[in-house]
Amino acid sequence: MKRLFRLPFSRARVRGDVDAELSFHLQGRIEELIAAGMSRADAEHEALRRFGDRSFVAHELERMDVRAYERRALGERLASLWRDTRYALRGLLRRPLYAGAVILTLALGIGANTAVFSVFKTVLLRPLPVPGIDRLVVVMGDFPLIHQRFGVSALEAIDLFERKDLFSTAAASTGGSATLIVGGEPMRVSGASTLGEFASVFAVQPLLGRFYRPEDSQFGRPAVAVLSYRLWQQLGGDSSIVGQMLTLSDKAHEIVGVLPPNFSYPSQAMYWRPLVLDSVVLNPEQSRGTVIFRFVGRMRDSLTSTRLASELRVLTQRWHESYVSNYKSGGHMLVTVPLVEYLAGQLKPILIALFGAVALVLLITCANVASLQLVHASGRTRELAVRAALGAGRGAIARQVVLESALLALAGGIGGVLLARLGLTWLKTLDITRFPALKDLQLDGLVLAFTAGAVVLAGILFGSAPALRASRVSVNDALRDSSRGTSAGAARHRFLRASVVVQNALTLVLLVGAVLLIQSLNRLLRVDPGFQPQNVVTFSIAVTARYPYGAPRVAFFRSLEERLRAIPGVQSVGFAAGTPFSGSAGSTSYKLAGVPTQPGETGRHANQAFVFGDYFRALGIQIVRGRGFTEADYASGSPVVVVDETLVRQSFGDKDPIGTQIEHGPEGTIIGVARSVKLADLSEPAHPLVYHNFANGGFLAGMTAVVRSSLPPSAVIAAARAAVKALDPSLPISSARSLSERVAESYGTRSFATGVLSVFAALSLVIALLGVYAMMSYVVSTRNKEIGIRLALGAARTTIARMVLIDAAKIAAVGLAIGVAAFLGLGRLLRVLLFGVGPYDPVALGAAVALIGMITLLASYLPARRAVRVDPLTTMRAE
Amino acid sequence: MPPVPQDLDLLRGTLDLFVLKTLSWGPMHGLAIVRWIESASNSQLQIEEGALYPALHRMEQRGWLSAEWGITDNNRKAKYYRLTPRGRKQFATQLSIWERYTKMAAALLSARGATV
Repeated sequence: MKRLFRLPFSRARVRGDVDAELSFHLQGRIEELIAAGMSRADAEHEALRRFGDRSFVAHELERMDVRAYERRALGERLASLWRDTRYALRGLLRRPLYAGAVILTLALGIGANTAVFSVFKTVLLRPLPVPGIDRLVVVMGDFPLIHQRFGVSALEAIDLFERKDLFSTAAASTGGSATLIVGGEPMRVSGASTLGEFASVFAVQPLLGRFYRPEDSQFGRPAVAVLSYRLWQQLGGDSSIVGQMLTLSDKAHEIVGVLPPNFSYPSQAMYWRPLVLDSVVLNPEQSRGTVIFRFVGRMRDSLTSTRLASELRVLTQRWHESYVSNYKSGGHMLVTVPLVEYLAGQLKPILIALFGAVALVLLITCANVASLQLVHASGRTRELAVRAALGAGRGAIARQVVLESALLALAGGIGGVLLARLGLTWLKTLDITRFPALKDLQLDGLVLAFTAGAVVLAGILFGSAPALRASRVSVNDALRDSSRGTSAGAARHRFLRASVVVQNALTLVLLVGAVLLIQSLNRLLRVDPGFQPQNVVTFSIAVTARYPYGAPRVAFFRSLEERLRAIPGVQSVGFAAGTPFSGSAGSTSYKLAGVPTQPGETGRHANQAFVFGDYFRALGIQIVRGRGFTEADYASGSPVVVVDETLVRQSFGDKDPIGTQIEHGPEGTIIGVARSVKLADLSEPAHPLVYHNFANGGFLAGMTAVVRSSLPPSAVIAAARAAVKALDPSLPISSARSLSERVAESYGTRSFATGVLSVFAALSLVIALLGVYAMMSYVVSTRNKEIGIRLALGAARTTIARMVLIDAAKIAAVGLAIGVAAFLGLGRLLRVLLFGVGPYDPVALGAAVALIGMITLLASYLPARRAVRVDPLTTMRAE
Repeated sequence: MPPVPQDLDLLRGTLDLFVLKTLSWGPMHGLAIVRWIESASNSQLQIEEGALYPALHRMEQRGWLSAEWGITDNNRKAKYYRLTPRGRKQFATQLSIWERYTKMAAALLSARGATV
């Protein structure tokens, strides 16, 4: 028996083999039968009979063989993949420092992207557990003439409910707060009064009981309420709570349901109850102007936002005609904002900026790793060339390099997910954004899918260039000589330079962004709020029906003032509804008797504050003209008001406002002018403010107490709580905090984002530095021979150093030029985040360019020194 | 004695065993295997020849047999099968099972009377 050489696999080959095997069998049989005396025809017939169904057997054998081959081939491919993977792994383990550095930078880049994306997803894709949340819009009243945007009034909301052609379902709500007793202690909680189909708009499924119905808003119905999960827990967490009565601010409500823990709209609400449509609410004269409701509607599927906008324009027009007296200030217009955007507010531009920043970091990392891999691959040119010469296909060699990149990307991805988890846990404990849904921040399937995408993309970005280069290794060049100075070497140089250019350009964009945000934050911190928040504690207190408005209420606050002032260390005490950074009291338009409209004055509208006690001194607000409120003003409840500088500038110009009559809700005589203050945000534009005498009517039940003292805030709060308890144990104090803390909180998200962005920018700077260093080291090492020749021919060593540095400077210049151009294109996206500085600030641009230029030269210094130390004899002998 | 019917279910599972036994003498092609089984059973066992080949290919894929193309004595190309070491071990195992089974079956089928 002689053996035959086996040909490579093919389907035709299998068919031929099977046919040959079976033919041999049948032929042998036929010859045997003929030899036994049969005729050829009979023999053929008999042989086939004994054999059975030949074509069936042949087909069956073919099928079996092909399948067996495929199984074997797959096994072999897996085995070779595993072999190559182990080979790549060993290669990486031989350079643990390099592999570790690459994996760490990748992990940082991917981790940052994962963390930012999960915040992005929570805030901008799914802030509330409502299906189809992108069809929900908030309808607001825009007043362009006074640059203000409010909600809608209850009657406007009811008109909008009728428009079933626009909104399939809709609801309106307004915030409120109530006092209730928990564990014997009075407690102040926030809540919401709602109108319309609230449960259906937000798809609320109560955890216990039911949600109340829209009809419960009708006058005369029994009072009902649903509770938040948190309030239910605070009340004991017993499921028998449904059906029980709860007193919310003097009125008994039947608890009909408890909502699940992840429902948080409005964000701080602890209870929800129907708004009662009594005669006050239904009276258009009184109620149309009270634009305090947040209207949320689900847009009909067929409705576009443009069509909705034009329908609302028509509706607004009709209102203006039907209720002339209510809309006389003019310029009023309904506008819509997607609910998601409304909820995200300032977070949206911040998140987009952060997302852009982390994407840049990842790109820079990829460009960096690609060039490092390439430099490393060049060290292996001979190894690869030998393998190629020994018959390894170009594909096999490229696969080797790709596998290394894939392993790096995978390790970086795993590290990134771990880092992201740490980051999110930390972010949750910070809770700077106070965005409710961020409490449930987690790495879910969508986020992990995003991460997987980022890992694959990164792997392709930094793996493909080295792989392509490796597969193009010219066996001849590499074996005859080191590839240095050959065409492959030149291509590698080009790639390295391009990679450094990309890194420099992207780093510049990131750095300018970071510098601009830091500048903005600095400007913001230097803004004079108009008051002195240091050493001030504020807290809220609301009286109950035991203190009806008028004299009893004024008397209560007078005794509280006395008790607070008696605390040792307390310097001054005041009260107000509408204190800076501690809750607003609303706003309305004002009229001035006999003061004509100033040039440029578009509308007369001002915020309100109702003041009692030594308020201006307690807050440190300067009275710049006239006088503040006196004991006599409070005692007589006289109709006097203090206005702020902004109002004077807007409506009086240079004229003296003292003595002028102003109608702003209540009427009064202007007795003084106070410095303008920031009310909620240091970056807010100035808006007029009128201080009313609280004792003139004493209508408000809830006030913010302002206590200035040299004591630590906690001591003041404890003493204040004791003082209130001694006065009336049934009254709670709430949101007691130091005022400095509140002010800091108002820019917490901004300063956090600035910090994060600066860290990313610094990180990219370090990465870019490493990139320049690696490239210049490589370039110098490949030019050893040239440098040696130059030195031998008498070039000065300084000339050599200059040559290297100029080379680096050229590359940096190209990178910076591209970076500046890119920033000029992208900068305007940053505008919303900036304060007191434009996106094209020359100082920021200049600083970033200088920093990167310096870093580039710094990174080229060591390679340049190495070039200078080249010994001409050694290098020339080495070749 | 009449030939043993070839489609007896019992015999199907034993085809592998017969092939392994046959190949234990040395490498053979399919036709030679059929001839050997015929002669060794005094022509009493006529296997369906077509069924032999799927069995051979299956055993090859399981690694019990290895196959090679070779040239016969009268210069024809034929596929030769030989037992691999694994096939040899498989043969020993199956053989011992078969022997125990037939002994047990014979004892059972020749038993007289029943005690319940």
